[in-house]
Amino acid sequence: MAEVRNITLEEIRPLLGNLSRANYYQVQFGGLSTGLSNFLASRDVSRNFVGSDVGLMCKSASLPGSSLGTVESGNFHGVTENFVYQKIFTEISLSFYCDDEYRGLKFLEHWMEYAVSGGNIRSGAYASPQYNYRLQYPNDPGTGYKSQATRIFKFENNYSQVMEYNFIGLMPKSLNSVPLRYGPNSELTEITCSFVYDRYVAGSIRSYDYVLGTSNNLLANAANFVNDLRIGDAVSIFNNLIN
Amino acid sequence: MARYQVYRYPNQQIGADYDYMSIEVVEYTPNRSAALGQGFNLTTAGAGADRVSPKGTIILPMPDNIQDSNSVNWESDNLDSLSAKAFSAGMDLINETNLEAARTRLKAAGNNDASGTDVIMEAIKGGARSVKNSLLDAGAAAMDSKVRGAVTQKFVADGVNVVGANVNAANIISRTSGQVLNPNMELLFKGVTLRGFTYSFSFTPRDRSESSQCKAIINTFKRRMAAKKDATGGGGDGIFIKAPDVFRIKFMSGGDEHPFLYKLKPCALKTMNVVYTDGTPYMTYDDATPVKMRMTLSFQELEPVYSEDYNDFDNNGSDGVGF
Repeated sequence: MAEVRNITLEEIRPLLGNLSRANYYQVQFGGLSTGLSNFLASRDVSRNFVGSDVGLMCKSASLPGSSLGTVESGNFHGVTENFVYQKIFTEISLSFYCDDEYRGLKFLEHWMEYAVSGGNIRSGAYASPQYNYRLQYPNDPGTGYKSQATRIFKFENNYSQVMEYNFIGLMPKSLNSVPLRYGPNSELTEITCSFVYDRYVAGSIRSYDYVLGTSNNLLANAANFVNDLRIGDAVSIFNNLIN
Repeated sequence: MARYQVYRYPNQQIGADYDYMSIEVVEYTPNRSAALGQGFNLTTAGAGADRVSPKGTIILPMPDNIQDSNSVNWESDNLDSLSAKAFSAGMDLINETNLEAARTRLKAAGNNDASGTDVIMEAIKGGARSVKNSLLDAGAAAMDSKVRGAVTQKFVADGVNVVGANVNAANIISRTSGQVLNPNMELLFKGVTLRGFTYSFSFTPRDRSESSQCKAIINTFKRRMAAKKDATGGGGDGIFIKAPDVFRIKFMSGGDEHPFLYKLKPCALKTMNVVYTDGTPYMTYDDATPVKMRMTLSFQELEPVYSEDYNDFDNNGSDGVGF
């Protein structure tokens, strides 16, 4: 028999009274190569703008989605079993307000341009009818075009909990055309761009969070190498340090 | 790869949880003396390639399509009872007659000597009579008239064919009696086969160092699969060419051999195919390295797999699936 019982309002209030709000989030770009950062900086898109301002101008974001690739098996007749063989990551789409210096637009436009700037763009030949494109290597330490440390933080107004998504190998894939039209003066220019990435990690991937045992959304008291240390080991390490 | 080299793609450290394919380049070591090993087992080049030190190692990611196909050669074979009896009679003939006389008869036939042909005809007739008598004598009580007729038809047909007619005894028997001789069909072991493997690898260099590795890997395979013109000891340059290098292939998991996948014997690289515009139009990085390439290698083992190759394996499968 199903377990159905009366639920009082007092019981359900803590659950439904503390729901997450969609308007508390922050986007932070980072992990760009020196080559890409210089390429952007030379176009008035400073490192500070990339690391802070453009994320604050992100008017709508989406937390990343993923799915599991599965294969089917029919070893038991009449039954189809599913087995996971891969995690599949989906694109994300971010929309930005555009400042009156167009740095948000330049940021995305020239990031994408940089990926195909392996040829002679620096020589100014890009205006030539005979221009052809070559590519930058994606992961070259000095000149790669992928971001290795872009994050989206989701939190609430009390900042008590933060849900963090870390994107590895992120790059813009598709910059939507920006609609412009005559109309009320209050209408703002908005930029929407789709990003692809190699994978993401839910939770922090910073080294100090790993040391604290809170990376990857782990509880602080969950097993990690700090908590795995026994008191005797810690005393031994301390003694070695002071001797 | 003049001195020992290791090339790897992707160009990264290999951790304990990283699975990959290791391909060692070794010099082909022929069975120089065709020396016999124990009993009548010939020493093989594959066994030699297993012993020599590698010239270099190429580490590649697990290929897209991993499969093996083991086979031995079995074929169906027929032997009707009359042919078996004839063979038996032939054996009796060889065993019981003067071999020197038989050689003389065959020699006479080989000289297109009509008398020699007559001798052979007589021998066949004699054999047929021998078989027929053998059958009749052995199973007279059990044989009915149809069997007697079939036997007669078969040997008449055989006799007619000797003079150039194209008569099929089985067809005649089937036409006249609606039955055929029991073929006693069974599957017979015919021999061993050599396994072949085709592996396909996708190259998408992520930085300049990986581009260099990709180039070196492709270059190494091309160079090492090519025959060598510096063969010596043959009485002069240009008379012989030397076998290419061969390859020892292993599936690896961290520093150990893969605990599940199959093992390979030393292989020759028979075909190599590289697509430099794999799924893309021609497009390159600033150093002209193509964006995506696909290398397909077709190997074949130097020697067959035998049951004794499993002697060193645990039966509980801890050594993987075997060869």
